[in-house]
Amino acid sequence: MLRLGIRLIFATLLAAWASVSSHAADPYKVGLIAAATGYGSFIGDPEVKAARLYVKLLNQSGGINGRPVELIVYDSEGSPEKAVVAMKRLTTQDKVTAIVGPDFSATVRAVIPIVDEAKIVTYVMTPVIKPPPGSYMFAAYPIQEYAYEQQLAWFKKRGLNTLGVLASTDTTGQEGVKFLREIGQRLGVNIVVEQFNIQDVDVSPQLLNLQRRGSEGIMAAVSGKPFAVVAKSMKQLNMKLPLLASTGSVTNTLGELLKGIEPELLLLPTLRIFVADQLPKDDPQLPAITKLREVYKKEYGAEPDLYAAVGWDSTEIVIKAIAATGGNPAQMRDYIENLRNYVGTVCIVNMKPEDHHGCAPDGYVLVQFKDGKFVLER
Amino acid sequence: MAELQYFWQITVAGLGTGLIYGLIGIGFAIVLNVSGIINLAQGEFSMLGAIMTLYALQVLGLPIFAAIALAVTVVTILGVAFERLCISRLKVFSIQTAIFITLGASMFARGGAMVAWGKENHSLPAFSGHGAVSILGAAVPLQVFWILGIAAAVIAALYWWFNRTLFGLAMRSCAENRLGAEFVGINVRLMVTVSFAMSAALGALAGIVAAPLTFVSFDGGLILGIKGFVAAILGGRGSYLGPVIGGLALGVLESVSAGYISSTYKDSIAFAVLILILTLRPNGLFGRWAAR
Repeated sequence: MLRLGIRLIFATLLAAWASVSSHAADPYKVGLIAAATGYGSFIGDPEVKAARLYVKLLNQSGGINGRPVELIVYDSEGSPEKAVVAMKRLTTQDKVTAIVGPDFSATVRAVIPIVDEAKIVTYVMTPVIKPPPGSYMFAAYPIQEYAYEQQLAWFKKRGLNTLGVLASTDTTGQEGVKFLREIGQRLGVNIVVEQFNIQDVDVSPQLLNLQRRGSEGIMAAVSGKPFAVVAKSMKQLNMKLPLLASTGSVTNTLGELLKGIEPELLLLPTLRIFVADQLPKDDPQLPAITKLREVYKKEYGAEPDLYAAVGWDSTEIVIKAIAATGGNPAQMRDYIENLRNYVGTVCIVNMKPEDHHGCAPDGYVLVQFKDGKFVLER
Repeated sequence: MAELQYFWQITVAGLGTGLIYGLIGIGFAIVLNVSGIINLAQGEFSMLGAIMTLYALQVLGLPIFAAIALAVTVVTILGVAFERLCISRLKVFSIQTAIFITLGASMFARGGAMVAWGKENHSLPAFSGHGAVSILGAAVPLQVFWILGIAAAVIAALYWWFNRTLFGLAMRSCAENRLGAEFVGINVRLMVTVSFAMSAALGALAGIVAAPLTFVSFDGGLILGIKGFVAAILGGRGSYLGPVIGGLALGVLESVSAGYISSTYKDSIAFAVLILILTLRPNGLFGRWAAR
């Protein structure tokens, strides 16, 4: 009797195991590459958290047509070499259906050839790189130039005509100047430029020169310490021009960095989620943002930041593509390329064959930094 | 008139930055004068001084001057420990080996500070606010006067120490002739240790007083160290006013190049002039003794 009992138990266990293992063979595999640790962890960590949460909730509600999704996460640590290794593993060994990430521009640049070769839909999370038209690569975020465009439009609307640009001597600074000149020409804003080394401890001469050349506002397209150096130098010269910053400066530690040297008027571009509480009630993205905030707060006990929003939308679009096509790579590519009016937490996506970013310039909103708070500019 | 105003403001901005370079340059000069070693970790003394002051202010909650005193003390102890554990232990003393050791120490200090305090940039409050006063129409940050006062006090103290005290004179003799100093019974190793203690204390002080203008981060010592070194070399060995004047010269050179010629090539111009000066005057602007 006992033996029979044991046999029965074994048989049940075996059956259960078989059903579990057959189930485990079923899931759609989605890869995720992000700088989850290392110097870029403030970007990668929320992306991974948001993607994991999305997949968890999806699986709880039955997955994609009954099939669960398995998220395979690799940490790039922000290193192009590690991103390439992860990409190769995902495409050749893990055989995933689609990939989210990588995020840092250097890591994205490094994997472009692999995406071309593997022909797997890859949804990268950078505002800097434009995916080649017709490729299998798409990108979250409104592109970087749109942030400049929004700021220059604001500048012009205030009746100001000449913008002094302080550019760092590295590639980022030089590319920024190129975009600013193009946009300035289009919007009728005169751009004057001075350079500085991001290691400099003072930029007074450059600021004085910009002022002499008629600048009515200063743009410093750098973040962190170099940005604080610009603010400090303006304060020392008692210069009261509006200061325009880049998206990178929008951090919760900005107040500490600028203590005692706050500019008269500091204008920054950011994404809607950063000022979610201040959005007008009729903002079309508000429902999506509110939903993300609710589930994210419940899971992690913290507000989702803009990187979480980027991770969330990227995962959702990839999952939608799998659901609509059953995971056929070419069909998924076409599905995303024809995606219209997807209302995400980052922006409203309208993909085109020549634009694999899909966000409009108004994906960026402008905020002023006042008394330690970010205030939405209307 | 507007042109003159512009030139004056540019010059004043350069003098302010140059004063920071000069103060850090003095720390280089002390070790260099006594031991012949170029201490490549000098900038890191400044960085550590600034970071520790911030730590004492924010985490320990000390008042500003107590925080500064604590930071200077800790960095001085670190400087002595570094010299005793690394430089003194050399089996056969050679200046080249010692310089390489200081290079290693600078990387160690940067890495250690990054692990301990993270990669963020912090700002230290200015001692009397971030305001500026106008001198003949040019804005001068209040902090610059603190730097100026400390530089003047330091130079006076060093002059007295190296010219009026037996200990100071003994230290100088080590620089003139190490072997000779040993023969007359001077404890050269002790003198080198003391020189490291002094330059660590001074480096920390320079880093702290400059921090409201330069900000604080784990890698902030690198560029200040390079500029301070240039100030020391430009000023010439043997003098303590030299590094300050060298620093001021470098600051104004950078500022005027950026304001009048090209901000892109500001550093290249400043360093080209440096090479020119050192070609014409190998001992620096105020060099005294290499001419023998």
